[in-house]
Amino acid sequence: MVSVSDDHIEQHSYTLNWAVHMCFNSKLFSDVTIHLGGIELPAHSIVLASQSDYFKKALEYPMKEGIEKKFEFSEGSMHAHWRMFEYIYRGEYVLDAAVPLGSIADDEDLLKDIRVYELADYFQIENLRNYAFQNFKTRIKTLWVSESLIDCIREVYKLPSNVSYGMRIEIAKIARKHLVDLWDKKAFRNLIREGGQFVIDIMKDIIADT
Amino acid sequence: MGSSESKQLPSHARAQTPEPLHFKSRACGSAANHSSQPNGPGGEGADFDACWNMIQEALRDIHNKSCGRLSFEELYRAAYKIVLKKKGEVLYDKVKEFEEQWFAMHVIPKIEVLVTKSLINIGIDNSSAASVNERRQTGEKFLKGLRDTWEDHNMSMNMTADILMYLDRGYTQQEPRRVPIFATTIALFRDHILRSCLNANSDSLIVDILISVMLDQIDMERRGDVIDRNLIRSCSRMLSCLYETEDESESSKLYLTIFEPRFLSNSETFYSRECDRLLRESDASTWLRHTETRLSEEEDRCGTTIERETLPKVSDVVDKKLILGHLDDFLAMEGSGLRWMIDNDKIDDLSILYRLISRVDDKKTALREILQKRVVELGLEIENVLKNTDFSTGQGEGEDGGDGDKAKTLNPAAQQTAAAIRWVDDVLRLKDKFDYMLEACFQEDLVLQTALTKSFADFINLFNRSSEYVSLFIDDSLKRGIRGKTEAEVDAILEKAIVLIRYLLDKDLFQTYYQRHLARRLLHGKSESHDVEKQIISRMKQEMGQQFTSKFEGMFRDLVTSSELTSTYRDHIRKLDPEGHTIDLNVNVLTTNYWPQEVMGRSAQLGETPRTGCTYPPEVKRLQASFEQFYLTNRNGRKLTWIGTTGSADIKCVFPAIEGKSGPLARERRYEMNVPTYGMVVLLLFNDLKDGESLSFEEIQAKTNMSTSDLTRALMAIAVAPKSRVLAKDPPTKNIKPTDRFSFNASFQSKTIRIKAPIINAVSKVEDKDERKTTEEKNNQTRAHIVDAAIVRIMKARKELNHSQLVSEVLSQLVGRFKPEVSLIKRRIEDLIVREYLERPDEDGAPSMYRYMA
Repeated sequence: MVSVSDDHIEQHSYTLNWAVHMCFNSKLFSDVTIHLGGIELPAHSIVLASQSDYFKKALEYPMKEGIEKKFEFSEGSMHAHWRMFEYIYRGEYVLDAAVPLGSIADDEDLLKDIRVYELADYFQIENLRNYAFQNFKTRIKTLWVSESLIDCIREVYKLPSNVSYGMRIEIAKIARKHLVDLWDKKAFRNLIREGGQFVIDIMKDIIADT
Repeated sequence: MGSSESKQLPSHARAQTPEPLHFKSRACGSAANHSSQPNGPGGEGADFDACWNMIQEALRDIHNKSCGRLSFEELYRAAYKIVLKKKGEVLYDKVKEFEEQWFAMHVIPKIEVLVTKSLINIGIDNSSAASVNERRQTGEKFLKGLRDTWEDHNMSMNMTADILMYLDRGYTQQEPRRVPIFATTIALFRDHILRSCLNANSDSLIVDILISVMLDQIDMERRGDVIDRNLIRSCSRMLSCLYETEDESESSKLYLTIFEPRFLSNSETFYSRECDRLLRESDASTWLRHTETRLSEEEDRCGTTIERETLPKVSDVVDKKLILGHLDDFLAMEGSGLRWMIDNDKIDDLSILYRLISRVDDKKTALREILQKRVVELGLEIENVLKNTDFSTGQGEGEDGGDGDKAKTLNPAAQQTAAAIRWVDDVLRLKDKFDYMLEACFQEDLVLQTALTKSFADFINLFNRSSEYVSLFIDDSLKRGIRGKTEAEVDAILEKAIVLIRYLLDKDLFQTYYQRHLARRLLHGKSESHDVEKQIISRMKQEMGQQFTSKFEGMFRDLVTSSELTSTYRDHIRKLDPEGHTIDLNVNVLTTNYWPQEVMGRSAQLGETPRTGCTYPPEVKRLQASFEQFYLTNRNGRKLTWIGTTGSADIKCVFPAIEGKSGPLARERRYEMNVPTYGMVVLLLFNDLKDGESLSFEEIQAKTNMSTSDLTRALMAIAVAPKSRVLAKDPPTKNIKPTDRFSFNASFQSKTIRIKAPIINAVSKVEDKDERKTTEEKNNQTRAHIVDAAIVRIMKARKELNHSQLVSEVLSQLVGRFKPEVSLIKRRIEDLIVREYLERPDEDGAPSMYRYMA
């Protein structure tokens, strides 16, 4: 056994990372095709399987996807899907709309992270879930004023409580902080009127303060 | 539908087949139990039904192995949607219900047909009429059926669980009472098949039948049949994938809870019977080989047929039943047991035995005890053979008994030497035997090595002449044994000698003998090589320490100084008397303490007043005076004592022609004789005698003032020994009596000019009974002093000690020199109290205390 220097290991993982980084949206060595709406995204089974159990199983079993090496996603935000695949290859995603999806409207800024977060949950990519959550936390500090905050709350509370717990706490905290300003908005008052777990979380916050 | 090996046991059977892709462990979201809000518009019931119908169809397809048309994404999303709609619980129960029904309709019937009457009998009665072959086929058919069903079920449940992955994530994980869907569905196999009876004619559970069949197959293999190992292994894998409860804790694997205990108890019975049978029908050698084969078979079995984790346990069963079961009986077997192996050097048997015993006993007690016993027995046998051997013919009986013609009668000394050499050879041969055994069979095991060394020391020290014999062996080697030998051969002899010395407990006794024998070799020029002498002394020094060899080294130093002294004295005389008329003197100045007391003229016999020296003739006296003057010039305060008993003299003698005789006697004969110094003193008396006159023993003694024994020995050399009988004795017997008369033997003749009269020594080479008693008594006296010194040294340092502490400290101080009797230590303590070195403090409660008196 030859002892390997840290430099050597670093060099190795750097080249490997870079190769995977460069493969995003590249036909080179591609063995899987992803259809996002009408857009095709070439992909690589080894990369997908390494990041997500969903893809690992789907590519392993002799079902349609495993045989045809083809995935079709039409539900939800295509831009969020794009960002997820970008993350799978590059460990990050950008907020600019992806050029190939030019014809499809991008998500509202406040919803971008939330929707990636949802997909990270669906495809079971834990790191991405954290990454999106952190991005969201930074972004909402300034973007809470956005009209889409209400949609944001609805989407988060739709997810199972155990997977969205942290996100719920964060969003309830922001809502509580700007409660007075938000109350002015009709959409917000409608949300409160519907009741549900979000109202309970807000109330918990208020009671804790008093 | 793929059915390659890697896909037969996918993800959930993780302990058995690692997944080909394993980038990260399955993530678990931070679970917190929040009650959920009622959500969304109505119409979800229809959504649920649509999703469930799709999933249900898919489950059926999966069971039927036709999933090529299924979309993983669609199914996964269907389950996802159900979970988001808070219908996870319903889905979970529906899946479970579906699988139970499927199981009842499609799986159980397949197994039921396999459970035949002859199959059930396998577990109960193996001696039935069914032949082994039939039984094996019935068993194999059942195992195969069960295995195939299990593998289908396992694969289907893995796939199902993966489609429903989000069910576990979004629902099961936040329900403490739920286990993953896979655990629930895979367990159906355990509950509905293994734990069911499935046959009206029997109340045996399938799992019991399964295990019975597996064990039956394994037993068949143990009896020499060929079985389908992979089939058995598939079944043991199945039992490893199923657990007692849905918690799936590692220790509750069915393999561990049900199979393994029965396998082990079955093995116990099997090997217990086998051991009994071997004891009845075979010998120890067969038993050893068979046991080793069995051990390797079980190892093989754990690697190929059942699970590897069972290996230590089943090996333990073989160890306990087959090795320990009748260990002592096998070792004690006549004609093949351990004693027989030892006596016949059965290297292979002993090696196997060692390996087996090492498995069951670190201390190797059974092996060690018999080995030790045998060593001592063989050692005592050497002594017995020695006792019953007549060495007087110069040859050991065993070696060359028929060669009686050549054999001449040996004198007692030579007989003892022969016995000593025989003893040493035999002991060393015995040691070689066990050394070889230790290396070739016992892997140089330290425990056994220590035990063997102890046993050798035991029997060697049981033999009361061991110290003397070891010294005699070295004596003989250095006088004759090393002649013409290469350096390596000499080295081997030295090594043997050292080995033997190591065993001796009474090293002081050996020291005494060695000193005596060495003195003889040196003073009489009998040593073959002074280099070798020095080598062995330096080895002893390494082994026993400086103190042990200081006297021997002193002896060598004396000789070196003496030879220098002799030559300077010669130069000195040559200056005074250039003509060279004086007697040529060669002198050895011996330091009193280095040399044996006997040599130094101190009597060997206790109680007898020492009488040394004699009245030397005037010319000798003058010579002595001249040397003393020369010697003491530079060495003030020394005292020289002349020891005639160890010296010799070269004399010229002239025998006049005898008239009337023919042949040599008619001529004058001149001879050069080497005689003992005292012989020379006696002979000189006859120079002054007239022809025909004689001297009686008493007259000679009166004139020379020699002790009776010295004179007797001197006369033996010159009046009895046949080749140097220059004095005639009356009567001409072979003994010297005080009444004998001696005269010049005018008709002496010799074929050689130079004649060497034998040296009849004061110090006999080997001891008779009395002499040895004397040696021992003297040794005991010396020991008393050494013990005294040790006691005083210890008490001076410790001031106060109780009796047993003191005794044990004395014993430990004297290790390497000798082992004193406790009674001796006791006596010395009493003596020291009387001499007021020690006292008993008069304190209550400390009756056995001693205190040092400054």
